[in-house]
Amino acid sequence: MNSHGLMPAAVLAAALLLTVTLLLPGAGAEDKERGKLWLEFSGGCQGLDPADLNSAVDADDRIQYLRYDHYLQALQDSGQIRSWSATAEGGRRRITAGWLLEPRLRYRLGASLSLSAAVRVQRGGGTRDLFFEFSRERNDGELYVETLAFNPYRLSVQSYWPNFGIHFRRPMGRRFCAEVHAAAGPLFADVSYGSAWTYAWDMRGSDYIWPVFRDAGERSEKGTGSGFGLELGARLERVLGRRLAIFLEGGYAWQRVNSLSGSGRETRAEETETWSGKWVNRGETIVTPWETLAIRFPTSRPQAGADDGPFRLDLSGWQLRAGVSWRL
Amino acid sequence: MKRKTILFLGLIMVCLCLAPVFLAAADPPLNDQAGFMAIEPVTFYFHYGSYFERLLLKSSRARIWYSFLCADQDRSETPLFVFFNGGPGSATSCGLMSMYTGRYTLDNQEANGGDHYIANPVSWTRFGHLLYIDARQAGFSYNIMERDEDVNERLREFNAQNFNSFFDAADFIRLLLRFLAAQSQLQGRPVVIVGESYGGTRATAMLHILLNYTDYSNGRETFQDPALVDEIQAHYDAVFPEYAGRTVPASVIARQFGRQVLVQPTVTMGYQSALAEEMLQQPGSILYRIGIEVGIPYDPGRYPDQFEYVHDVAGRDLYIYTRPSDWLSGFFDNAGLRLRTVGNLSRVTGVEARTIGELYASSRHAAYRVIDANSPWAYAYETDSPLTRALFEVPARLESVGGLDEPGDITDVFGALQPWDRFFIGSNANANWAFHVCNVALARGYDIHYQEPRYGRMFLKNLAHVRTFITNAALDLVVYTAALPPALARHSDILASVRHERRGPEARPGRIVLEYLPGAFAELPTLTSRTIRFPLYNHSCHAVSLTQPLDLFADVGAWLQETDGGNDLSGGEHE
Repeated sequence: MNSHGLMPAAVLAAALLLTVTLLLPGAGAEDKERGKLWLEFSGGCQGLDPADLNSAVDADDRIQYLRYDHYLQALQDSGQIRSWSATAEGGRRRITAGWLLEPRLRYRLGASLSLSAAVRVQRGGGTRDLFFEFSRERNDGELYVETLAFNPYRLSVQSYWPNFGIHFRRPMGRRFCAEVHAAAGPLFADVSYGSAWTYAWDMRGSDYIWPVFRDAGERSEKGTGSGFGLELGARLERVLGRRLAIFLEGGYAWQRVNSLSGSGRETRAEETETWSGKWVNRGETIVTPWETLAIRFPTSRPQAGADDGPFRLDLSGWQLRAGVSWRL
Repeated sequence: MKRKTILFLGLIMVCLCLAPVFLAAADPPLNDQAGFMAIEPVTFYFHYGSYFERLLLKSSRARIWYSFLCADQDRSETPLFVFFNGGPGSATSCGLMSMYTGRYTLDNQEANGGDHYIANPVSWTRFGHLLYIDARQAGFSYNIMERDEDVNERLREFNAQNFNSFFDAADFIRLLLRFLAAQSQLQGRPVVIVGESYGGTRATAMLHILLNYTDYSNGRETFQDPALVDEIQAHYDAVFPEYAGRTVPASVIARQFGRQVLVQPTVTMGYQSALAEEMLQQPGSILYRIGIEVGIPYDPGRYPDQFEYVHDVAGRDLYIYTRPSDWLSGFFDNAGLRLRTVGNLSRVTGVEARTIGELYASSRHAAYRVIDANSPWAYAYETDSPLTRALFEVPARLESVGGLDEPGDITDVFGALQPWDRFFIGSNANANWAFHVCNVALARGYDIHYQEPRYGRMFLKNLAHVRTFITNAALDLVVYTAALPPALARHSDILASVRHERRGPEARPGRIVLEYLPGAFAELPTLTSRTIRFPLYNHSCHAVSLTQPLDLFADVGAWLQETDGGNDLSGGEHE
């Protein structure tokens, strides 16, 4: 699932929905609502920036720059190669938005007050295929061509938020109702990070291509954890009949998981290493002859003496949902 | 009387019954040995500080050739000498083993060493036990792979997973420790490392790993080989039981691995090469004298490549500039030819070669030695230096003469091999190419090439605990040892001064005195100075044991008798 650019599209869709609902004929909002139980179903999008999780993308990008772009430039600057070039298809992307779905059951206590129970499923990030090629021309004219492919590169988060809400409702004329609400509940989240990659190095001359090295590997890390979520929001509802309404709901959700644990697995050089542990925000300093790079990235692999900080999965953000409501 | 007789007979019976138990507990007698040590595929990695961004490699299965000669007299402290040549990719069997160290040798008075091995008047078996090792894919050593019939698969075998300076050293350590474990009476003996040429880098890496072994699995060093570290710890647990299960301090380890004899070594070769070039360009240098002798004056402007001038223009041997080109290669090649006669091989090793199972074609179905089945010549050497050509092109071409029909009776005795296999390769150009060029660790930017300054730093740190003898052969241009003292001085972050003392009481005097900067190595706070024995061999080529065998034997013998060479070898480390 590609979540990039999700928010503008969702806002546009919501605006269209709102326009359509304004044009539809409807029953009166004030006195035609029926039933004490309402079943609602909504879906939408959320702005996300799980910084600690996204640091995986930053670290992978910066390491690749260090390993290839910056290294090759250093070789060229020092006269060890004649030139170099790089091509890329695709790129790693941070998680900046997510989809969400929520079934909700509401109990109407009075004309303006109701309580609700719901489960919100949220998902952000996904998988992408990436391909990079780095070519360096040696001073003797021979080409080294290195290709690095990720099929796929994966970074995703999914959360389940059972929540209990309270809703204050106020009719706005015959067709519309406005509402504010607050909801809170425990948050359960899963994260997944990893890739399957291949690396190839060819030596190329005027009359030969030598496939001198091949490598491949996989890395997969999964984590689960629980936390707490709180949302404050507002809603505009269009009543379509005695039992049916559609609505647009928005708000800000504070959602944070302070501790994740899980398992990991890495396969390289025909050997597989597995581990399990608590997710941490690990700091590493990569010291090469051409550059020193400090990075932080998330992992669950235990490592003695590592510079580990706490890992927090922060799924807070603005949310926008559209839905339909049935009065039972 | 009868009772006494019964008692006496009973006593004899008890003794007879217990005798096997006591005999079994005693060490088996030491005999000369030769054969192969199996090295399993090993997973190791290089890193620059990031675990997930490491370059993880898995080596191929190897059968490493070794030959062990017993000391003339074995006492409790008789040391074990471990010999190896360099290259990398060059065989010890046709190098040090055939040149005045073992019981038999080529004859330095005959062209190319003569047509048979002669008794060596200065066998180092007088000093101790001798262990000769051929590096992976050099000499008799061979690798084993799957799909050995696929040329592209063979091509990929000659890369960093099998050939780099650290894993090469790890191979030698593995073989040495396993050999020591198999000879219980030798396990704790002092070991003297004897390395020639690139063997200086190998000795440096070996000793650094052995002395600082935990750093090779805890992430401190660029090269990480956890399985090797476990093996080293197990060895130290046996040899230093008072430290069982704990990290053994380097000063304690040096009781066993505390001496090295380096023959024309590369120890900080990047600086050695640069300094040698500078020194040889100076007016009045050897190159100008060669120019006068051959009537083709040396002109740095016209001949920017000094080796090209000496080898191609002046027609002189780079390893001994007073001789014609490829004079020394003739000895190596001749040894390689002679050793492929089974009788010679048996004589030199002291072992009936026909009893060595892994030599038979029937036991090496998946063995390979070269990429191109038709030639041991590596790809892509056309643009390389005259030095590389002298090192590998000439021997490789010589060895390719006759293709698969190897000289001697070795094929008749052991059977015909696959086209990509060889019984013996004196200098494996494919392996050398993998060390220097076709190496993914180098391509990915790991500074592990033997010309990198890291080896000089490692060598200088080793000196804190390791007594060192280095030859200074006057006629060698490949490793121009006159450049060694100033090359060491280039490590100005470690050394305050380097002094080459040319005078002394010995027949062949010479010492390098190193003054360390305070705190040059954090864990060696009291390390202040070290002295390297550095005798001058006025008439010697690169292979000092060949051209001045009596002198080298005498000097090493005298050096072995010295207690500590004026050095406090505790290293001043924190324990």
